[in-house]
Amino acid sequence: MDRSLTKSLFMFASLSVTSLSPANGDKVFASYCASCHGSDGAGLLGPNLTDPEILHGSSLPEIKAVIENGVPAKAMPAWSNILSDDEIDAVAKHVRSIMGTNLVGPNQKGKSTVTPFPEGTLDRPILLRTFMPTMGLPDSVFTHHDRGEATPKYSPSTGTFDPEETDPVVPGVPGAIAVNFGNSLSYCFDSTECRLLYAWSGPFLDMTNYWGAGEGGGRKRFAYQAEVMGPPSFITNGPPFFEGTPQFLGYKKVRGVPSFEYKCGELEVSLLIEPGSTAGEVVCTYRTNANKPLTVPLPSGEEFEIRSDQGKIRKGTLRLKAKQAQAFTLTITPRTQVR
Amino acid sequence: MKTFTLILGLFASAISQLSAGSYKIEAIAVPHYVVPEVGGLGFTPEGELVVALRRHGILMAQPSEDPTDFPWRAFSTDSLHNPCGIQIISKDEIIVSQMPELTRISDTDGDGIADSYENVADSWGVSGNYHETNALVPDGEGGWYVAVGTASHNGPTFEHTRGTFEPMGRIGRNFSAVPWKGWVVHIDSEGNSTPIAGGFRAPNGIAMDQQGHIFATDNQGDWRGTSPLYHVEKGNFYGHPSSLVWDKEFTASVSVNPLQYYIDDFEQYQEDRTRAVIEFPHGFICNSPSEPHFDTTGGSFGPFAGQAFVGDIAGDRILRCMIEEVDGVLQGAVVKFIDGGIGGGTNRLAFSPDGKSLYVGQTYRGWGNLAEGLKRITFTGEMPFDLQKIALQPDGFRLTFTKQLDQESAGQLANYSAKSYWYKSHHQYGSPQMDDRELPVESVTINGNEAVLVIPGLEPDRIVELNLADTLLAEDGTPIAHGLICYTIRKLKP
Repeated sequence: MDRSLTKSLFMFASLSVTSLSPANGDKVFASYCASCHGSDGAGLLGPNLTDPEILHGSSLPEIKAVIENGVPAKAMPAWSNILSDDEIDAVAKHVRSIMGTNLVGPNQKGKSTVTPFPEGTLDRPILLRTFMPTMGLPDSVFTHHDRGEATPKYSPSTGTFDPEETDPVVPGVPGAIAVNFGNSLSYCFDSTECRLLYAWSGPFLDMTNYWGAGEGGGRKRFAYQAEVMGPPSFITNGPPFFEGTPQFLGYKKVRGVPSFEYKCGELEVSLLIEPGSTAGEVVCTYRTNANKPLTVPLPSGEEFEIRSDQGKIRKGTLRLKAKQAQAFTLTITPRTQVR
Repeated sequence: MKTFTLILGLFASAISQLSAGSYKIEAIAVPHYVVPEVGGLGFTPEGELVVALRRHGILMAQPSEDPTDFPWRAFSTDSLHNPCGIQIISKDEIIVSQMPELTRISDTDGDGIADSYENVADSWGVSGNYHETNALVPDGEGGWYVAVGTASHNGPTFEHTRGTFEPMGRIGRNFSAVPWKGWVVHIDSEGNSTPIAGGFRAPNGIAMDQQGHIFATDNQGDWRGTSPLYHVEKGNFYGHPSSLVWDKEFTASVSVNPLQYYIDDFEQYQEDRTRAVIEFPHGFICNSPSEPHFDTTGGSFGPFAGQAFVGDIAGDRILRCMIEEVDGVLQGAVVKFIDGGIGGGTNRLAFSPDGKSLYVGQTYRGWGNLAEGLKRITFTGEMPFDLQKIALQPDGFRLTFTKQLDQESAGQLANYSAKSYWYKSHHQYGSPQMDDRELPVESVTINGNEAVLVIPGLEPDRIVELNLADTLLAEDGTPIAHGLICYTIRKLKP
């Protein structure tokens, strides 16, 4: 496009252009950027620049590159023909200075996934399927997984194997489903074992390892695994609740809350997991087609207490009559008050 | 707000001006809170565009003429695990292949928001490696073919894997540590799985043509001298050894270590593997092919009906494939359809219901240069001057063009040159061009919109690269748009 035409159009769009001191990044921002990014940078048509990480890279060189070259796919103009180098430098520094102030933009409805810090709310929990950390879960929890092992390191160029060095295995949950209700509760359900693995309160996940925080190499890391941000309030242990190989059937949303459906042998189970009355407390509502009494081995630990609204708990085992086993609720309460 | 719309509109038209004449390219604006990392793309029967994103579930919008003003709505905000395949059954029912399973996503209460996520099939394992992507194509009978990618040594495997861990499958650069990595798996409408063919590496795209042939692309790397387009047939081995650890017949009667077996015996490897329908020369034609997408528009999108378009994740281009049957096998040629102006990252393609536009979903997912977004290519109705069809002859090629040829320039031998070479698929990553030879173009005969080139010395298992000079003109004076043609010869014309 003709450069002078472009510039005059932008001047028209930005309404008032006064002589700008190169050092005044805030004035450059107000004149050229605020029309799309909002006067305080919290986003309007363009994205919110006050998040801790921004879409096309959070470092000063990355920000400058975006300003200079634009992002045509997102209608962000290239400013290199319009602003001077000093102005670009100043406004990039201004963007850096407002990043992390976490203002809520006028158009920001629901979650924003532009940052690697997704968030749900009590009303609208967010669900993510991704590789999750094991948080020190004991091996016994992975009954229906196979055991990976280190194998000899391979050189594709020579087609030979290193006699000593190996490709190691790392901890991780391959079929995880993570859910967040805001700061009150997050949890990790496993679609392979079909059980609640762990829960926490506070911030949800840092997805930088998988989603990245900027351009280039920063957008992936070796493990591609989410990082849990809050302190765990519950980590499971012990054998599976129900006998038989679990088969994950999927999940349904009940008022936006996922209800997991699975089978263990002939037993059909649905499990709805919701926040309790205190931070980190987990309420697990089970519905089954049980036609005989069930004994459920409960996880044990000093860090949490498990109550059932049905049946009796004796020596860490919940005993349910057939009728009780068709509908029961377990409440897992952290013993120490979680922040 | 009018001012803002004006700015966006200006930029959209600035982009479209980059693409000349026959095809207009527009950038589609997506909601500001979404990263447009497109893994699945298509249309509902009602004409709504459906976009599956890596982080942000599934968006829908009825396309508007203004590319910046689509009325986006979220069908699902669940972040699926690397959704890479999609079938749109209706506005209420969508099938997605994601890392751990094939999922049926439904809106059962009619509020426009998905509320049921049914696990249709999860017969493949999950090792904990990011590279294991799954693309799908419907089988036309209520089931699907899913192309399951291998893992990469740039990522790990987990201590606890879903599915059986096989150490002999774990070794290698790209590898198959858990079941059916590197296989095309058929899943029937009941969810029963049958693996049909192994030997794939990173098949980021599977499609069916109007005759029912299944095609899958694959990506250059180990055991891939250059990126291929394969015709997928039951029981074939497509050349990447690791997946054969899941072939009981192979491990019982040939070797428990297929990787080592084929490293040690290249001759046997050449004999056992199924060759590509088309090989895409690495670098100057394609770096990372994605989904093949057949032109089913019957001419609404221009003169290429029945041909396959293929995106390049790591190049600013879209390819066009012309496939023919020669002596019982499918083979053919690739030319560029869009060469610059579309941006990199082209991952998924979908025709608009009226057939006039090709929607382009882009992503790079940590591979290649940052390139994400949604674009639209629209046929303007102005006929391009391009190669429309190529047919191998016993001693050359018959080229059919989209326009009548200019007798004088088309008759000049100097406007044609040819050479041939091959790529070595082996344990090393990629391959240089092997045995690059000039081929003589002995004569050219022009008839209307056809040129018959006589090129003696053609050989099978080689690529013939034809170069048509830009001084080759149509009768109306238009120079040839894309003169670089690469034909993969599997069989000579009898």
